[in-house]
Amino acid sequence: MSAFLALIRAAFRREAEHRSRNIIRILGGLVEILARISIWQAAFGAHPSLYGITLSQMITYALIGGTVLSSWDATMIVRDVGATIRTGAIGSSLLRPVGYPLMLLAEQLGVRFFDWLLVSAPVIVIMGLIYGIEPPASLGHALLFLGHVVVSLAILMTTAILIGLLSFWVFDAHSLEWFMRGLLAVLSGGLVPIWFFPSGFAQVAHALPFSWITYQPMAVYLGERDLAASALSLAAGSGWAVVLGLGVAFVWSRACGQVVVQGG
Amino acid sequence: MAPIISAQHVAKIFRQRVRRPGLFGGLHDLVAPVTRPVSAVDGISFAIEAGEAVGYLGPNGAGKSTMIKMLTGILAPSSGAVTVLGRHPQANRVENARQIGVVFGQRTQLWWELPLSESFELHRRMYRVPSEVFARNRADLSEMMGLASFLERPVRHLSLGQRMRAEIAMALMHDPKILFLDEPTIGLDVVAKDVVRKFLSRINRERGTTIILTTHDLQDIEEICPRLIMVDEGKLLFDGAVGELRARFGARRRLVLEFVREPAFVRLADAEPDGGEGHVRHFLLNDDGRSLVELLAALQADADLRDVRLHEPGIEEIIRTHYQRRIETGRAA
Repeated sequence: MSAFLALIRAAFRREAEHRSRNIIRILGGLVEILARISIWQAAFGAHPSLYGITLSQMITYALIGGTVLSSWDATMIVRDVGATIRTGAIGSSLLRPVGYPLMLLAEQLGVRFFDWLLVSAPVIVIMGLIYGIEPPASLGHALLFLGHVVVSLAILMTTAILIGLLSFWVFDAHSLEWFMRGLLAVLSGGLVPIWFFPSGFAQVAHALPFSWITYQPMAVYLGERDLAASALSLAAGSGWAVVLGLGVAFVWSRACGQVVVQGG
Repeated sequence: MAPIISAQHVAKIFRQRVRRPGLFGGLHDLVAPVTRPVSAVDGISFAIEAGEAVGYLGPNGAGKSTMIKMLTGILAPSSGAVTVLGRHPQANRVENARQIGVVFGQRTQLWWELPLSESFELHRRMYRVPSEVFARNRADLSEMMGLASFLERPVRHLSLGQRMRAEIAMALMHDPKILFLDEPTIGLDVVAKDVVRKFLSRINRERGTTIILTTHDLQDIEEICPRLIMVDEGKLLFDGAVGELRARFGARRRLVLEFVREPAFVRLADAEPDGGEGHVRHFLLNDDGRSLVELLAALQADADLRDVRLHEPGIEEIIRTHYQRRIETGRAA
């Protein structure tokens, strides 16, 4: 456990070393959220609400869903795993007495926590001051939302690791990365909330774990579900996280025999 | 006592993609890829006892790194068995990793962006080193390798020599029973090489750490390793004391004679003339037992000697002779 926390901390500190990149990331975050809000303003036009959702709720969705619950950057891990396999640097990780998926998880969590603190928090504060942000529907919803954030993180990380591990079979990590990006952008509800999906497509999205990355937590936050339904959604999401975790363990056990460490 | 490391008929075969030429070849490769087997390690066996220092030597592509990767548990052998400290290193990768130290000269185990001391701290946690052991090792190793002046500097700012010293120190922080080094002196200058060699041989002597070292710098082996394992094209060529190598590969001593005047005729029993002109003549000696006095007594020449030099063949020369012979036989076949 101590090693795990130390690895998270190391990844966090490493991120902090890239100063100019971090400034660009904050600016990029602001522009992205601005774009999302502008799109929803245009879509709503003069309507006070669409399908029972108000513009102000949608802005809150874009603000939190596009930052803290965004799936976009998590795909970087796929690129990283692919690169370590291609260059043979994976050898260095495998020499350490820590499970490889656990190292990947710590690595990602460090990056994620740094991102929350450095990018998400300031972007939410700045854009929230300009466009306004709705509070959680109730205290109960707020607590269940926090539980959902943990589940969202768990599902996002395990999905990313799972796809990252596929690089052991598919040497071209780039295609995997874009596959995951596209898949998650749509199915997580990160781009468009699932309540705007056509009903058949919405059913598919609900049947998959990815909606717990962005959509389900935001639906709870905004009070689109009552407390009982929210608690049920939390339980279902946790179940998915466990399933994906087991999936990672299984794929890794198969990947072990597949390891080819490139280079001399 | 059972050996600390053993390899029994170990082979590693990689599958290499064969690319067909041209556009249609590319499409064909996509649909039905063709691979061919490449044998990196081919039926190698050896056993190493605790406390030994062994040099694992061979030219590029001989399968040295592949063997180290199998012993450290990051690759599985295709056939045969390796055991390290009684375990199968790949199946027990994490347990194995805890008891060995590894340095790859061409890769880093350090955290590039963080100060060196942070890497050590991470290492302590990952290897679960007790605080007092860590404090003692950190102090000792920093002193021996002269790390104090750059402990707080980010690793990316270190010179190669500094980084290598740090890598080796870190690999020893958890008191490993075995230290594997893959090309630890590659790219280092003479002074840094010397520091590393002296340090490794001291660690082997004082701590009793078993050392396995691959290199193609023969001086590494001469200074650190009494025992030598030589491989080429995946096969074992030699396993024994460094001193036995000469007898085994028949490298000969070279006698250099320098005359006052240019001699018309020089002959030496049991020796073969090998170059030299004017005042200087070279001979390769067939019989290794003879002393210099005996050699000079056997000398038949019509001129006075000014100087005499007898060269012992270094491992480098022995091995060069071997590889040249291999290339020649390869051509003949």
